Amino acid sequence: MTPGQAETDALFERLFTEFSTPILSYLHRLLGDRAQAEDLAQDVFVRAYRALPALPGDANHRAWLYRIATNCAYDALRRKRLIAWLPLPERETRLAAAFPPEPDDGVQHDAVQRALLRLPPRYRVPLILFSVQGYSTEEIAKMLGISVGAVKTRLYRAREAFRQSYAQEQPDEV
Amino acid sequence: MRCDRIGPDLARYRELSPQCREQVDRHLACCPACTARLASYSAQDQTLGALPMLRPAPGWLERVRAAAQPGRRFSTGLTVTQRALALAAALALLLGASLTVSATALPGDLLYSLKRAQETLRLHLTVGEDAESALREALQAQRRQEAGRLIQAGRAAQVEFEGQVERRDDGVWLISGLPVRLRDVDGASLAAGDWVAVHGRTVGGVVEAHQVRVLTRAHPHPTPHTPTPAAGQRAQQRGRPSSSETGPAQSPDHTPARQGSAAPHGSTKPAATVAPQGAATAAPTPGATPAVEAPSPTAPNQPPQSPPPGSGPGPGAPAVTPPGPGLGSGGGGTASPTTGGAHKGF
Repeated sequence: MTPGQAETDALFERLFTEFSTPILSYLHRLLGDRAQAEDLAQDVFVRAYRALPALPGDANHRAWLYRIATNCAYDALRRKRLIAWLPLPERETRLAAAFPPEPDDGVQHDAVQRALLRLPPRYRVPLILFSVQGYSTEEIAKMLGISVGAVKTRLYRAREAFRQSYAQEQPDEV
Repeated sequence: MRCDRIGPDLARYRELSPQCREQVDRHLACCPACTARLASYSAQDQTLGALPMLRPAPGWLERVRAAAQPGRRFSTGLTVTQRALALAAALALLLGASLTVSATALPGDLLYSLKRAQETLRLHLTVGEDAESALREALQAQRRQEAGRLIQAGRAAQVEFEGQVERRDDGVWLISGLPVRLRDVDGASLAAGDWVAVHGRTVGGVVEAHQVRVLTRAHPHPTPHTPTPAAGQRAQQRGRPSSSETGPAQSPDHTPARQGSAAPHGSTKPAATVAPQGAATAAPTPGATPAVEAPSPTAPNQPPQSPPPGSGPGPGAPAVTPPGPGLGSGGGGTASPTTGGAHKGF
C-alpha cells in the first residue's frame, strides 16, 4: 500500500466514522425508505472513497459528502418518479404503508416524515439541509449548484408547503 | 417592509445579517401575522430536528466499509438489493439448468442424486393414490431405462429397479427385458411372472444382482410353473404395466403368466447379447435363513407386500426374498408392488 493510499484510507475511515450515521439519517428523511436509504448511503461512501484521492486538501468534507448524498437521492427520486403519477389515494396508501402508526413518539415522527415526503424534492432537500442539517443558504447553493436567491425562494416555499402538509397530519398544530 | 416581501427572510431568520434582522424585527413588532409565521418556522426547525437519527442495521457499517475498500468495490453500479436480486435470479437459473440437465443423468453421474431428490419431491407433492401410483410406475420404468442405458454404454454403476421375471437363458435371467445375472443369490425360487426388486451393478453387459426381492408371485409355490389366470388378472388390477408393454420374448413355459410383464422403454434386447456366465447356482451362506418361503397357500390371491423393515436379509442371508405369508390384509385390494410401504423410498 502506497503512502498516499494509506492517507486516503485513514481519511476515509475518519469520515466514515463521523458521517455514516448522519448521512444515513439524511437519506432516510429524504426518501422515507430505510432499505433504500441504506443502499444509497453505501453507494455514497463507495463513491466518496473513489473520489477521495482527487479531492482538494482544503475541501469541506461534510458538505462534499452531503452533496454526494443529495445527488444520489435525486437520482433515486428520479427513478421513483412513477409514484408521482399514481392517483392521490394510492400515494396516500403507500405513504401510510411506509410509515405505519407506532405508539408513543413514533406517531409524531411518522406524521412529520409523512408531511415531509409530500413536499417536492426541490423543496424537501433545502428544507432538510437548512433546518435539520444546519447549513446556510450559501452552502446549500454551492452544494446544489444553484444561486443563493433560488435557495432562499425554495426554502421559503418549502416552509410554507410543510406547514400545510403537516397541518393535515396534526390539524391542531403548526 | 411589507408582509409579502418578508417571507424569505423569515424562512432563514437565524442567518440574517444584523442590519437585515433589525429591519425584520421592526416589522414583526407591528405585525402579529408575521410574528406567528416566524414562530411556526421556528417550531418547524424543532419538529424536524427532533426526528430520530436512523440507527444503522446490524452489520451495515461493516458492509459499507468492506464495499468501499480497494479490491472490494462494486463495479456494477447496482444497489445491495439489486445485487441480491441478481444473485437470486442467477441461482434460480443455475438450479433450473441443473434440474434440466439432471433429467438425463444416469446412476453414477454427478447430478443423479439431484434427479432422485427431484423425483422424491414430486412424489411428496403428488396428491391422490392413483396419481401417486402412476408416478411410481413411471419412475420405476425410468429406473429400468437407466439400467438399460448403462448396459448399452458399457458403464458400471449401482442400479435398482423393479421388474417382472421373464425367463432364464444360460444362467442369465431376463427381468423386464434386462439381463440379470445373480451373484451370491439363490434364484431357485424365481419363476417367470414374478415381480421382483433388483439391486445390483451393471457389469459386462448385464446387471449383476446382489439382491433380488420377490415382491409378488405369479404362482403360488410349490407349483411355480403352473400358470394361474388369477395371477395375471391380479397383476393388472394392481396397476401393473399393461399387456401392451409386454416384451416380445416369451418363454413357452410361462406364456400365460406374462400378461402383466413389462419391458422397459428402450431396454436392451435380451439374452442374445448376454454371455451366459456364472449361472445362479450360488447357495445361501451357511447359517442363513431359508432361501424361499412360499406364500401361504391359504391366501394365494392376497395382495403381496414387502417384508417389514428389519425382516429382510441381513449380510450373508439369501437375497431372494419372497413375499411373506398371509400378507396384504392391511393393504386392501389396491396395493401394488410400487405403492407398498417398502417402496416409498425410491
